[in-house]
Amino acid sequence: MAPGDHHRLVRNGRGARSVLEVPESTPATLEPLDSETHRLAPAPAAMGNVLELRAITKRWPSLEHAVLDDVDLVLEPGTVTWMEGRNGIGKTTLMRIAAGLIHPDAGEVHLDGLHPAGDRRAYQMRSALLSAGTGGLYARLSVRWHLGWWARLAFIEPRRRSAIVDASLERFDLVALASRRVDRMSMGQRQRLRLAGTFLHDPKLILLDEPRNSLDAEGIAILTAAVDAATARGAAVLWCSPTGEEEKIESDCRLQLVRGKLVVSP
Amino acid sequence: MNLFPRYAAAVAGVVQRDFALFVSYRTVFFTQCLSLAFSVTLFYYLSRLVTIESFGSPDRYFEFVLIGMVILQAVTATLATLPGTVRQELVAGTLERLVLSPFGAVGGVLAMVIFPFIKATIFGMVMIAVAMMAYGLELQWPTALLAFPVAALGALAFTPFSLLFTAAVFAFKQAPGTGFVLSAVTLVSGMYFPVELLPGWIQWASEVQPFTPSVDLMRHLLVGRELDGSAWLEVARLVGFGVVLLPVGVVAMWTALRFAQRRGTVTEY
Repeated sequence: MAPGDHHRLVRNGRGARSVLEVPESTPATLEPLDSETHRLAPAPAAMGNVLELRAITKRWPSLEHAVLDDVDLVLEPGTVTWMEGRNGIGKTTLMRIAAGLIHPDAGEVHLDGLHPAGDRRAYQMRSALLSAGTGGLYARLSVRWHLGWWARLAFIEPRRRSAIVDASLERFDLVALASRRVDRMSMGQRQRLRLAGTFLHDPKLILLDEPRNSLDAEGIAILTAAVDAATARGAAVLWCSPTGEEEKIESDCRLQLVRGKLVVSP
Repeated sequence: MNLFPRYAAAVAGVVQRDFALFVSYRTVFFTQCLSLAFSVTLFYYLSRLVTIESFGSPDRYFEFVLIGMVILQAVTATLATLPGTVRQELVAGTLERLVLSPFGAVGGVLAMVIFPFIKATIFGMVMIAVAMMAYGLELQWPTALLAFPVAALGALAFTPFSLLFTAAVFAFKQAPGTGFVLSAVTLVSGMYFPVELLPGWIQWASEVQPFTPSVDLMRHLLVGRELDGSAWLEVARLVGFGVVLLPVGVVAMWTALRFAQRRGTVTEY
């Protein structure tokens, strides 16, 4: 059984749609897509949605066209949305806007009805972004130290912090590495640490930008289990990968970013 | 939800992080102490050449310049270290976690001032200890302990300048004036020589920043050098600079962060 088959089995076991099927209906508010504009029909109410991106537009000075052009995206609780696209097409930009890291030129971003700038603290307590790449770690500090540091930044209650860190070490198979310095770990081990930090505070919105980077089969299984656990408690996951990536996680909705527009992936 | 313990834990986390990174290089403390001991020695022998009337004796100049060097540690720690650290965090990608946390980048940067200041205080004490043990510096013990709260006030007054440079790092990815300002501050605040020696047209610059009152007060408290005016007036000036400029620095940093987020350059370096 290939690693990818494993995740399919896990999610199929929970009754999710197969990744091999074109979804009959994407999460409710993604339908209907206007055939010309690919715009979403306005959601009747914000209730129930975790993330709502409305008419998001972002331009970079070096590009003629908008990297994101009037993009709508709604993520519902307990769903995994797979987003793919070519390199440099704007996937990371969309993830960063959803995380509140950068602001769009136009459009609205809401997480549980919260605004990323106006309600910054509450917004950040509910969201997490795993950036693509290998950055964000202190080379000379240990695994346990990183998790404790992130727990403090995430405003996890002091009395719960130690237990949460221990649970995270267990969950991401980092117990044996707990006291090891990051610069003495493999890239895959570092990625498991970065993932552990992403899921640490049980965020409602989890944004994973190329999360399988350097992970082996075991690491991918750990990641898949973490995603399943997150969706089971009602979190929404947006998983972003470059077009052509072979292994695909089981998802409830597959989208493709093409020329600044989000469309349902074939 | 009571936020105070969570903010306090995050601030403590920043200080612990900076401490952990500092001590992860095991010899750095000792090599820096050695470097400071050599600087103290250098200025001790340079002071043997000083016979001008305003000091009376070489020992008086040694006291004068030693306290100037101690303050320079604190000024460098607050003025130059912070923008450099933030830039390093940008390059390493670690600042992103601060920006995307409930604690936030502004709180994080403010907390980053604490450890360099503590470090500068410890190194300042090392310099004074070397001067006492090796070169017979006489400390004014009755008032010396008051130097700690005055140093903290000084840090409060210096920090806004550092925040302005950090704002420049957020917005433009560099703070090119840091070295220039540090040199200018060294020149006009009387760290190495009395400001009275400066040409008249530039002496006003020693009055419009918090570094001069801080240096004067520390010299008064540590080695008993006479102040031109009241000590309380100098303290009031320090407090005034801090109270007025700190909000300006925070707002500048917050604005620069928003600017970078709007432009989408917040993670660039």
